[in-house]
Order: sequence, then C-alpha cells, then structure tokens
Amino acid sequence: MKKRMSFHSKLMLLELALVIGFFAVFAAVCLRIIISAHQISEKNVRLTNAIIAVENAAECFKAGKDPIIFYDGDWNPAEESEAAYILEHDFNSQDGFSTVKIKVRDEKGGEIFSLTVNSLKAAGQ
Amino acid sequence: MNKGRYTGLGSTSLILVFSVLCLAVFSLLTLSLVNRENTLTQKFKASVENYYSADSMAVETAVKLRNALSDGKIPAKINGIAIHSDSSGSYSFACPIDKEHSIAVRLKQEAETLKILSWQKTNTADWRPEERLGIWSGKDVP
Repeated sequence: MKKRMSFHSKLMLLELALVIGFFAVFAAVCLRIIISAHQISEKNVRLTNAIIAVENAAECFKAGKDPIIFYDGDWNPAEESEAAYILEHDFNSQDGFSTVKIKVRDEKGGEIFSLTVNSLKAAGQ
Repeated sequence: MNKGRYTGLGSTSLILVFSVLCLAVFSLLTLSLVNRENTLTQKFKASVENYYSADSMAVETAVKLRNALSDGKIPAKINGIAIHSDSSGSYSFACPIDKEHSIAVRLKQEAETLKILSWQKTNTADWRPEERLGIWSGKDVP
C-alpha cells in the first residue's frame, strides 16, 4: 500500500513537473509575442502622435503662426526642460514661396516623422 | 480505495491545456490587433505624406502660374498639371493626392498677385448614388 501510494505520488510529481515545464515554455513564447506586440503598439502611438504634431505645425506655418515646439511624454505641450519630443523646423525661401522641413524627434535625437511643406503665407501671398 | 487512488492525476494536464490555449489565443489576438493598428498607422502616414506632397505641388504650381501671368503668358500645363481658365479671369487646377482624391485650386488674378478663391481637397473617385432603398412598402404581407 505504501509502495503504491509512493508510486502515485511520484507519478503526480512527474506530471506536475512536465506541466510546469510545458507551461514555462508556452508562457515564454506567448510573453515574447505579447511584449513585441506592446512594443509595436507603442511605436504606432508615437508615430501617430508625431504625425499629428507635424500636421499641426504645418498648418501653423501655412497660417503664419508659431507652432508648438516641445511636447512631454504624453504629447502635451511642455517646457523645454520637460520635453520628451521636440519639433524642429528648417525654413527656406525660394522663388516666391517658402519651404519648411518639419521634423519630430525624441529626446535622444531619433527622428520619428518628418515632412516637407510649401507655404505661400511667408511669401506674402 | 481503487476508485479514489488516481483522483487528480491528469487534472493538472487539463489545466495546462486550458491555460496554454488561453495564452495562445490571447497573445495571437493581441498580435493580430497590433498588426491591424500598424497597417492603419502606415495608411495614416501615407495619407498625410501624399496630402502635403500634393499641397506643396499646388503651391509651386500657383507660384509658377503667377510668374507666367506676370510675363503675360497663360500656360496650358505647369509641372504636368492642366491649367484651366474661364471668362471671369479665374484659373483652376487640381493636384492629385491619391487615386481618389485631389487638391482643387481656384485662383483669380488681382493686380500683381493671385487671390485664392478656393483651395480644397476633393473626391475624384467615381461613385454612383444609391437611389433605390430597399424599404418595405407595406405590400406583400406574408
């Protein structure tokens, strides 16, 4: 009786060990998938917000107004010291219109999105 | 005794199968959702780039048209874009954004400058209005 119980316990232990092993492998694979999905999602959110910021800046330039330059981590307008994202622009006037290259980069300097916009406003049209 | 001896054996395997299935389904759903989100973001990016590319082309065309008019010429095309003029002295052209949209511009010459009458995004795709709605007329009651 004691021997049989011992065998049963060993079987249970073996099953438990196998289950934990399989679960660990599958959990690692699924976790990897979820982490990469999260990273792609964050990148998409960042790109979408950067596009909106560049669009806003482009329309400001076309209307002859100053755009928002510094954004915090949640893409709200911020002071330079708290800026996580920075909008840079480069003006060029040529042949009756102005060309503005607008770029959004993060605090480490990595470019997220850039756009070149022509505007009549600065040329006095 | 024999009946209860192996109670519980295999239940952990069943829980494993259920957990693994849940994990696999939820992780694949997450990945699928993110891939769709990514496709949408790329489409948004492409649409913004195409719009501002067309807008920039429209600005260049307007400036070249103004220069041509100040030289006393009315060009038929500028940068491959057809320029249309009418009797009221206004000029119009359209810069394509994509297959279904374009920026339509109407300008009027006033002294040395061109006044913008309209500068708008228009739909150029063919579409057919649905004129017949399948509304129940009250006849043919079963």
